[in-house]
Amino acid sequence: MRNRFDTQLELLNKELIEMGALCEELIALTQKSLIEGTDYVEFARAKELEVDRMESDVESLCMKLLLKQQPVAKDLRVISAALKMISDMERIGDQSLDIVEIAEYVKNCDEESKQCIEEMANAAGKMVSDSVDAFVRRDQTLAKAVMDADDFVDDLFDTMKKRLIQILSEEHADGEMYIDMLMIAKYYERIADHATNIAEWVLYSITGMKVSNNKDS
Amino acid sequence: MVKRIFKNTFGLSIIILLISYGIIVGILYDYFGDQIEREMKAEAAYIACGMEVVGKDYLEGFRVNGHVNGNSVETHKNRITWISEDGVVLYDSNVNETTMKDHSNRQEVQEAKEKGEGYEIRYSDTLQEQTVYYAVKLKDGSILRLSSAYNTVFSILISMLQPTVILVVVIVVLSYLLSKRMARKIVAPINNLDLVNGEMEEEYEELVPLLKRVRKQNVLIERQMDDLQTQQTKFQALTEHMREGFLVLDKKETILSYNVAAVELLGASKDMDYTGENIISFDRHRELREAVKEAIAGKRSQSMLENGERIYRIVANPIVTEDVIRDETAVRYAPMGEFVPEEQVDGVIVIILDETEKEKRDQLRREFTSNVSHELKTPLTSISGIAEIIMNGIVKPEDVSGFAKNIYEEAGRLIGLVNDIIFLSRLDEETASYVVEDMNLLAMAKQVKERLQIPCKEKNISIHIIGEDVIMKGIPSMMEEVLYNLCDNGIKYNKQDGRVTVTIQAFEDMNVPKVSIKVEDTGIGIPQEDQERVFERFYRVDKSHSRAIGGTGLGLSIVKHVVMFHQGEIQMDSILGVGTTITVTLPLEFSVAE
Repeated sequence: MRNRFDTQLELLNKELIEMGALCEELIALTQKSLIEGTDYVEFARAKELEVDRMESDVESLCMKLLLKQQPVAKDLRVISAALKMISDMERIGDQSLDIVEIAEYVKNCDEESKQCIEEMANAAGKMVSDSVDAFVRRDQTLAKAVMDADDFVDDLFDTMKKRLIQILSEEHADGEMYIDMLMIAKYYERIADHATNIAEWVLYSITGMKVSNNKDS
Repeated sequence: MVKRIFKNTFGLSIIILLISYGIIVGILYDYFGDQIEREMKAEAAYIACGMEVVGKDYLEGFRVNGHVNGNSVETHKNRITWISEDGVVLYDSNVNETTMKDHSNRQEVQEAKEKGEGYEIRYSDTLQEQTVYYAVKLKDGSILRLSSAYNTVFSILISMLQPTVILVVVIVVLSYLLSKRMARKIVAPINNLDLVNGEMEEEYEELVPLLKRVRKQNVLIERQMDDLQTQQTKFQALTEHMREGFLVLDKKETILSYNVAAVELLGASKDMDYTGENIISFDRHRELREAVKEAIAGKRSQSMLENGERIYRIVANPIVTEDVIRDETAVRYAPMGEFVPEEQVDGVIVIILDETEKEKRDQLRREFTSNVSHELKTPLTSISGIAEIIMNGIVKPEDVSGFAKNIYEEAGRLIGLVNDIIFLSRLDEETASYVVEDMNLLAMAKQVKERLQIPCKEKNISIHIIGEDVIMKGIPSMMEEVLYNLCDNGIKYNKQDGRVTVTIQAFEDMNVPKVSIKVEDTGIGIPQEDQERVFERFYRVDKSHSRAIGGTGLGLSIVKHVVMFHQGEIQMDSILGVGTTITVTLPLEFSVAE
């Protein structure tokens, strides 16, 4: 019985990492479509569907584990953290797809804005990667680093916002494009928030303490 | 052990108990039989005696009152029956004699008639129990019979039931305690045996052969452990020093072994032990996982993986373990392209090769080819185009000379290019004959300045040559080429009204007299990412291949070659939009490069 439980826990671990890997791929797609300007919408949509499917898979696995095995202590924490993490990952997947979808409308923006958004993309992508890594390695330090990095992405978003306000106040600016740009920046900021959440849940599953970064999401 | 000994002890006790019961009961049975017979004989004699003296009335005293049926007759009193010669019952002490049938056919009665006495044990219909009968013939021919309830074996056993149960309980308790003690005593010396190097004289001599065998095996195991350890060390040394990443997985994608290179290449954590973890914990790249899946399905697979700026080739190979031949497991790898049935696959070996350099070189080669063909093709195209127009007679006679000038210029450029290529290839071969001479670099620079007057005027650029007269040993034609190309670049990539400064200075570096030639311009500068590559042949910062500036893309390449030929060094500092400074450092004495 216990043995079966252990195998199922292992499966849960594996599925979570796989889901994290899918999120990473999706973020990589957003970066590619922003920089290279290639159309990845269909590809990203397929991946996003896969993330959704995995979410329901993992969810039912967690439910099965909770009901049939009635885990306690650490196992219970891991499973409940997993339940929370998958919804964050699902959101990351959704927002990545949204970025890919509007990426083509911002193709013609100025070089400097592009660099700024690229920096945000890199930072948010790294946070997602690190949060999944923290989960894989059960690494508290890395999880805390992810939570700290959130402030950096927030600052980048503020800078970006100010920049865009300034550009839009100029007369000849293409308003629609820069609004899209702002949306993309906001999406990355949200992705970073979700990565922070994942890191918090990782920390919770290890220590049993819910450390909140005073951010809602 | 306790259980076993207990079972044995208990069983043995019970068996002994049963046997002793059998013997005792047998002996007692015989003894009781004899006793009863004797007693009955004696009693019969007394009663017969009494009857002869008193007559029938004597018997009346024995009658049991109120118990006509005789069911509750006290057993210790023997029953007395008096039977006439012809078998009619005249008296019975326990039963009303009038109800009784003729008794002449009873065995003991008949026996008594014939022999004077009869004895029998049988089941009594009247009393309904096993009964002993003793009959005696009286003097008047009638028969006196005594009967007594007989204790059967069964009844003896029943009477012994209670003590037996007590006995069994005692046996259980005793044998349990005893066997526990015994087990402890037997096992204690065995547990204290020193298997590795104890003395052979043990408490139990029966154990000596076993001990010998154990010791022999100990030696064998130790040797095998050593072997294994050596092999492990070898394997580790081998894999740890590989530059390629190496992973061994089992069929369920669990990591069995991996090396440091794999951790470094894929960026996994160095502090974690991944043995026994799923491959996905090690690395999450889809390409890796898919290659592994394919290999588990039995197909050798290869894929390229991009990890940041590095490019890796991943080779996943299924492992097939064939049947064991003479204790040695033969491991076989599937050759390229061969398909192994999935059920035969035991695991996967993954090799990760860093192919970033190779990819980069391939890229360079591709770029070089496209650049060189472009450089050669452009002038030829214009020459052939112009010549075609003239041939077709479209050009007015007075314009022909203008077109001819174009052809001449383009041909000149082509010749320049071919000259450069020849020059470079001569440098490459290094077999070209050369004459080492003393030369004055300052004077040479001034000469070069003269030669560059025309392009200078076009952009209104001033060339300043400062420094001292430095005499160095070298090949003048080559050095002139260096100065010319550096200044030419300074002019070509300069802004309008810019300036080029050439500084020539002698200095000493670790007791070696050297000269530094510094060429500064106020031009457009070179972007950071291109600074390393401008020395490559045909490399252009401006990828559009525009001919606005001209040049062959070989200039700096020639400079680099010549400087290397003279054992010198080149340093480049450039700020985009501000200017470029190239400093060439050369030893004054010439020595041939190795």
